Amino acid sequence: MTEELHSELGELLSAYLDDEVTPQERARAEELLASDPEARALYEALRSAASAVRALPKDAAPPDLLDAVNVRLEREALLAGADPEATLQRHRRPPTRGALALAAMLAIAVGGGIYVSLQLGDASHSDMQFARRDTRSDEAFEGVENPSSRNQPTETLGPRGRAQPLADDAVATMQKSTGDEATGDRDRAMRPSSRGGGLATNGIAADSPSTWRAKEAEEAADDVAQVTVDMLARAGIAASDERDAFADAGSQHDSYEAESEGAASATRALRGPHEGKPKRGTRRSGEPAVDLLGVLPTQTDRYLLPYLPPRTFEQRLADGEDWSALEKHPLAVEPVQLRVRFASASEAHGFTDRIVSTFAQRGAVPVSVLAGDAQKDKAATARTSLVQRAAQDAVAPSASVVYLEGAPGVNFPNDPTTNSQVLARVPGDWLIDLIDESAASDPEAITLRIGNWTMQGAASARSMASRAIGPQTAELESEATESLVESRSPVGGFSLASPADSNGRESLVRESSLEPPTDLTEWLQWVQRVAEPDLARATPSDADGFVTTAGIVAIVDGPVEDLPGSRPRTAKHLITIVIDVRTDTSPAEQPEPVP
Amino acid sequence: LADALLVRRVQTGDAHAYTELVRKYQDRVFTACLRICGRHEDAADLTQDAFLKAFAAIHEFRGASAFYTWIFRIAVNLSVSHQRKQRNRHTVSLDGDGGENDSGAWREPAAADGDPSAGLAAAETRAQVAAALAALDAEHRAAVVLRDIEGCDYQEIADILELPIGTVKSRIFRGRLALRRLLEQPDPLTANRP
Repeated sequence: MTEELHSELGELLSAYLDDEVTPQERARAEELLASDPEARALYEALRSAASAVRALPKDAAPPDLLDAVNVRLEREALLAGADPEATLQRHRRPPTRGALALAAMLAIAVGGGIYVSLQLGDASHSDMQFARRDTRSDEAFEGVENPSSRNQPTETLGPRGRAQPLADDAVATMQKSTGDEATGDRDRAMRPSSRGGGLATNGIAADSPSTWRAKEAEEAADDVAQVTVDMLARAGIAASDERDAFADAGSQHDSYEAESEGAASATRALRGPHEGKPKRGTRRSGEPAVDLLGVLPTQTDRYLLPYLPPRTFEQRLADGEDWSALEKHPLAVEPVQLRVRFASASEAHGFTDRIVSTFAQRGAVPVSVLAGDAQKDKAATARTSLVQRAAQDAVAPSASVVYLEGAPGVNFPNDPTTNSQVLARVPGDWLIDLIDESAASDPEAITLRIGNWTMQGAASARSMASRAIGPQTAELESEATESLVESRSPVGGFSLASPADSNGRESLVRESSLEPPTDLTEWLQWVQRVAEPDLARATPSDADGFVTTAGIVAIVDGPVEDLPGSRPRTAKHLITIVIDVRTDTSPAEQPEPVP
Repeated sequence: LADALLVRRVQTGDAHAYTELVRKYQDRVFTACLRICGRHEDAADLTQDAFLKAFAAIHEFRGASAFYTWIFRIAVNLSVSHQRKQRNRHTVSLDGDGGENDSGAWREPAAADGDPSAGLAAAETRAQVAAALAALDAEHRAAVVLRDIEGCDYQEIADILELPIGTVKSRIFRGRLALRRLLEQPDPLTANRP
């Protein structure tokens, strides 16, 4: 037997021993073994060797290994504590990319679309308090609260220190999508601003156009750093006086401005006395050390708790807003689509990275993926829309935010270009943040659609979003209501014409009467139980128009009712956000017509 | 909890979730490291390193593969790399000095209720097999360990080692064959390495 033949037969017999052969290979191996003594001897030698190795004991790790790992992790955290940004670089970035396990496989994505289904526009006031509100978001809210300010020049802040101006005549660009497309204010695109920021940054001094690119990498890291600094601030990881300030912010729910300022002061204290971002590797005098060790062991609980919305639906009602009108508002169910384009896959990746990161940092915790792979599991595309149900109903009694994740090709079963999605049920005002973040790529390519209305360009989109989530919606409502009945979301599965009749609603409501889950595992099992009937019903013929995703949830300790500023259980002032990233490399897309 | 959920929690800042992952896989990772590097202390260090490295890079883990595949890939790569360095330094120990037989976790006492000599013989056999395994080429050893100790299927091994399945098949065969030849030596502990 030649060596080559010996190797070929040996590999075959070895694979046969491991049951790693095709039927044809199996037949050949068995024939060989039956007829060739040399093959039998070789097989026996291989089997003997494998048996000897398999007989070796499986050792347990040293009992102190787990402790040793923890000690080394803590030591790294300690070392990094002198340089929080370094810590973030190494450990705190997870929420950014990691949470992208779904959407971020979109590494190849070049074109991106974001679909935002606005469940109800209750976000004109602060649902949350973020330090960054002391800049950009305040402007946005001012624009909502004070109609006269809407036409004042404002700025929308992009990530990484880039900034784009918000057109002062943004409102004027709103047009019906059935008519000519708005073009936005291209002339002002990408003009440098005196301020930077974005989802993850705040109050950061802007770089000049000639320098910001060179600092992009550093600023991206700073963005991440700032997210965590803000998170830590919200978690109360701050010096005592700042913690008090933060506590004040958390307890004074009668004044959005006071809350915003309180949270901002806490974050400023973490940053140090100077506005602007600290340089990596340095700590300013007066900047308190961040107790990373203190947050590590209790991260799960603590980073969720700060999400205590200071403004609630009830408060809006107390302010004279009509609940029933809000319930009937077309924006409660009308799909909002925000489409963004990116110049490169890395930009698209970075975008979703930041979005998911920020959502996670704000308490929209990615938890579960129940969806199947549409390519492998046809039934997966046929399951009843858990997204729809979750978005409408499935805010657990103890949950404040639902974060939904989709699997590639599932939620858009008819769209082969779709790679993955992220769905999140988050406060409505995050739509503004999404637009701001989107503007970092190509502000002119942003298209925001609410119902039949389409806005082209970041400035126009921002203006429209500010109005849509705010109280100044009557003019939109008057024209959009009529189209509501026939509207369907661009997101497959959102049958928006009759949300109350969704297949899952009954079962979900029934299940909701069960004892509320008290922890994440329980909640996950609970949702899976709810999903069972749908899974059983699913047939391939149902594929069109259904979504297969469910997820959950930020768990807060204790009943929601006990939490100050808790939101109504219906949580209808949340929006459902679907981030979709595609492999579309075609030239700039024209907005699709709204059905 | 499912690995994916735990990973997601780690990615959102929950260090406790990572402890769960370590607890879940530490034995398997340690065993694989031990069988590849051959020394208890080195295996413990490599296991630690693997988990620390995984933690530091957890944000890059996108769920394309299972977490255990990922951590095994890290651990096996570390172990193979470590073994190459050791071999270059000619410090591989096959004589039990500092090797796995020095480890309480690795050594087994003679059967308490049986023939003490039988227990001794079994322990000696295991030591011979372990020594022969340690004498294999690192790449072949990794494939054999993943298959015959970890019980990974060929696709998993291919994922962990980042190799085509055909190469995996070949390495397992050649590793087993070399192992068999070593064990046929009068004293594999002192036999020439292939």
